[in-house]
Amino acid sequence: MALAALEVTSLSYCYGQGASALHDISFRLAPGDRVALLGPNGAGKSTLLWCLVGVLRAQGTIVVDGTVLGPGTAAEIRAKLGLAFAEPEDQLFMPTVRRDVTFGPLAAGVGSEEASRAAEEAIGSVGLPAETLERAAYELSSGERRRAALASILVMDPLLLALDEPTNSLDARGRASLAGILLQLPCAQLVATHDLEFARALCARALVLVDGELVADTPMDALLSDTNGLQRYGLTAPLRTDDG
Amino acid sequence: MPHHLDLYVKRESALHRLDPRAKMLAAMGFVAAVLLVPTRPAWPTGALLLLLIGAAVLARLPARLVCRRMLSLVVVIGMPFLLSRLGGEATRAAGEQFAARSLLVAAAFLVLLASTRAVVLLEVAEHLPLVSVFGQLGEFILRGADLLTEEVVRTNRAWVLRAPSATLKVRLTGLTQASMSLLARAAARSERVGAAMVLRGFQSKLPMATPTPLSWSHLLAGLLFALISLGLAGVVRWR
Repeated sequence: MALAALEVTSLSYCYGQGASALHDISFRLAPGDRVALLGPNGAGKSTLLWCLVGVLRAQGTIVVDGTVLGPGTAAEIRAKLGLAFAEPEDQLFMPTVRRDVTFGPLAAGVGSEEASRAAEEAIGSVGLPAETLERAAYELSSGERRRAALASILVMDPLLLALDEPTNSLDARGRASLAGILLQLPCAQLVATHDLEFARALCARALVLVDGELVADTPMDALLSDTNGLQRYGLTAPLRTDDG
Repeated sequence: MPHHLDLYVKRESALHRLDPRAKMLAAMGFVAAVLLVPTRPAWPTGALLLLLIGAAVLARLPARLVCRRMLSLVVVIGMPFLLSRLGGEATRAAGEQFAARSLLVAAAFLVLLASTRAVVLLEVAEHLPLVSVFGQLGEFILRGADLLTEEVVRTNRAWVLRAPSATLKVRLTGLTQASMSLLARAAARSERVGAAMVLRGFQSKLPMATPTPLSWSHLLAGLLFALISLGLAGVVRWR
């Protein structure tokens, strides 16, 4: 069997007060897979993503491209797994977009010119003009911020991309444009969202989390055609059912 | 304006194009000259003022904008100056010296900040020994101020919408109360920003791009301005 991009086994996580947020989660993503992580608000989608990058320490095993997440391997895992936050504001913490996008490469010891070139490529890959690099994050629209934050992750050339509610505050055009960008990326993607229309446009497979438990690992089409199942999971089918 | 805290004025001018490091060198020379020249007689201070006005003209800064910005400084600096007028001769002389030097130094920085983006100056500071940490802190402050300003504007709008007829006093009270929740939100955000930095490989120092070499022509321009200022101070002191 080929090396998985991500393999999660028996993952559990409890918050400080002992409340269980994730319980015995196991799944696998092959290289290049695009998988939707679905569930209603509070299901544990974001918590799972934070566990994957080792910011939250969970029980169980997380393996990214053959590297087991542990105290000594967190940096290696984070170089392979890029996480796009729900709020892009939090990932744009420097005064200019260029400083944000070159942050990762420079921190990894890449030379200034190469980092700058990589930043220009990354910003282009998310459909933003190179001039965006010189702008301040607050000058950008919600959609541009989302893309700039994505560029700051893509510049690191991750093997696996995890996105937390990527369609937050995006209009229909912004969602379609983001889906177009993500569809062109060769890396595996785990897309945590409650936007089923977006998930359907992007992913062929869905993982459904409800109250911290993985209740379904199913093809997206099968999930969307199961109205009762959707209702049971607290999800609402998209209004349109064509491929547009 | 690129940042809320930025005083940059976008213009096509020779001073705007000058390398920020050369401008900082010129500014440092100018400030040293201001501190060296006595304020009595007044002509050396006047000559330095003319030099600065020349720089402002070179930067094509609108006179009205410069005056408006200077006005707020005049209020701050004017108070101790006025108080000094109540004292004896020595106190009055000290008050004049303080006012003249403060105004010239403040005006020099005003011209520097109006012709150079704050973020560029901070990046230069990042590479300087001793002040590097302030440059890094400044970058976070610049970004943080943008976020805080937006939050305050949103909070104020929310207050206005919820209580359209509220007096300014009520609104200010509301903003003060809301500032506590702003602080809580800022703390929560700083945790997420910390995570974002760590996820991108941050260890203990902000990664910096290697600066490009400073060209001779720019260095000479900065040096020339600094030397003219210092030369003037030297002539006055020597006489």
